Amino acid sequence: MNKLVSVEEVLAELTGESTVVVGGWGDIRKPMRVLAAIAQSQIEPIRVFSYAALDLDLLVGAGKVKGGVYGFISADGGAPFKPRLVDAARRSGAIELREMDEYMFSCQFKAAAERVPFFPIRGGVGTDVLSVNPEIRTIRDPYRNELVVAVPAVYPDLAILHANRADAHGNIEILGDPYFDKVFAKAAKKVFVSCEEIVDVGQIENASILGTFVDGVVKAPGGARPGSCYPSYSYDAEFLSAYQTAAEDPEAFASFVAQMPAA
Amino acid sequence: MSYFTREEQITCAIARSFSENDNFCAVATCNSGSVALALAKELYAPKLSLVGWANGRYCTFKNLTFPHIPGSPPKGSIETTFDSDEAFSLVVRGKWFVIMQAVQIDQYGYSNLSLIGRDKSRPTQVFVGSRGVPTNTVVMPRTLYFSSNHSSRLFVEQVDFRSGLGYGSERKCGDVKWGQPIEIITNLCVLDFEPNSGRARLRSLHEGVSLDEVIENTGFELILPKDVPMTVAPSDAELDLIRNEIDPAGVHRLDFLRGEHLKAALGEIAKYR
Repeated sequence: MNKLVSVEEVLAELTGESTVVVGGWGDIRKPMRVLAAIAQSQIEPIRVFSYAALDLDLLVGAGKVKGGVYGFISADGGAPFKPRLVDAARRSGAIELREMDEYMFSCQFKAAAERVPFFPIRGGVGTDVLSVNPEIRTIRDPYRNELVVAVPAVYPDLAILHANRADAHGNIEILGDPYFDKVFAKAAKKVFVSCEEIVDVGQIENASILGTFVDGVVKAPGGARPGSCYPSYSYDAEFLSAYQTAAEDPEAFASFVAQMPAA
Repeated sequence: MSYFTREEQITCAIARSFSENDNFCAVATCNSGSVALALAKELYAPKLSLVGWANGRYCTFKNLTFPHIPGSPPKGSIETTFDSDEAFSLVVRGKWFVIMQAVQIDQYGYSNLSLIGRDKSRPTQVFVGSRGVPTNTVVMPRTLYFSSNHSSRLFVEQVDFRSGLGYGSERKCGDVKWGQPIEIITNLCVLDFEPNSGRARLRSLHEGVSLDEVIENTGFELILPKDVPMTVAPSDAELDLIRNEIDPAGVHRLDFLRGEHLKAALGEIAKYR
């Protein structure tokens, strides 16, 4: 068994009909090299789910997003980064970008991972998170008649994640906080993981995500740059500064994206 | 009574909203709130777990002193680390407290962290999004907001986006049991909510603040008690802990400073690192 794949093999999975969930958190452990390859490709715009910052900004800026749902848009890891391109898209309403409560966001995938139609939660009642996501309904529980929000399961076509180590069988090791990558991997129909390092089968002592859930592994050292990947590297402030300067002008941004390192 | 600054008074006011039975993880989105939590743990709420970030994860602290560098706090201060899914478990179980800030808050305690604009699909300004606030305001033991900029832009008749639940029909009929807004502590005063109407009420004015100043800077009609007391002055024990143990560099001041003043304070604080 060999699950090592090239980034072209990941791109081949994508069409304009695809829904993709991106792993990581804001500016932390985002699969930026694979996303750069998508940004540089001829793929039609896709739908994206993410705890977002660098990832959604790049894909929106490159015109690769036709819709998206985010748990937040913030460089939580402290990177000096303002998501100007995605914020401009939120203001113009040119593409349908919808916000969701952070916990609610994870529950769409928790439901899918457990193959149940929805996950009941308490949060969101009486707020506009429900009015901007009109497909989400509140229900009464059949036992005690309590009001809950029934968060519908979302089965993305693809999960694209970044990890520290992987082996050829697709076993994945994440150092630091795995955030919600494990549940994304279980919800998605196919799972691709870029990783800092490929190790021999047997070297991953305690898998964060078992190879059974993984369809392909892309070797991509530095693959989360310009974001961070604990403990290997922090965010790249210089690169982010250049990115943000380029983002002020569409032509400059297009040529910047074309030169971004891709996996 | 010793001399104290308004920033110290505000920090102590936040700390005093915690008590002995508060057995949960607590974190703040502001410097004065972080210092206040450390102070509360020392004096009023020993069961609080102070939360931060270290080694690529969330962590709890044995004790917390400032300046404190998120992500790389001094080794001896860390109790343990944990992942985000554990943090979410704490939230939904009612074992998490976050001192929050908002872009807008209305008279019933609804908050907005998302956007400005009447049309939600074409806002004029956008922010980080509602984040965990829709959940926090229904599952946390209670909700406390902080603002360093009490203004009629913050306190509005109606928020443009309801991120956090206030006192609405969901609470009145018992569908929502927890997370009710208790206090808003600002640079001018302490607000609470009248139990029956759920409307914001002026509870106390900080040292040197006039009633008119609060009214002028609040964009909705506040409930005004007949006599508005002064916010309780910091005790000598509180001042001693803040100045000599928890925050000798004065990190709690940063929330209230802008421009050159902020730059100068950051310079002073850098010397403590």
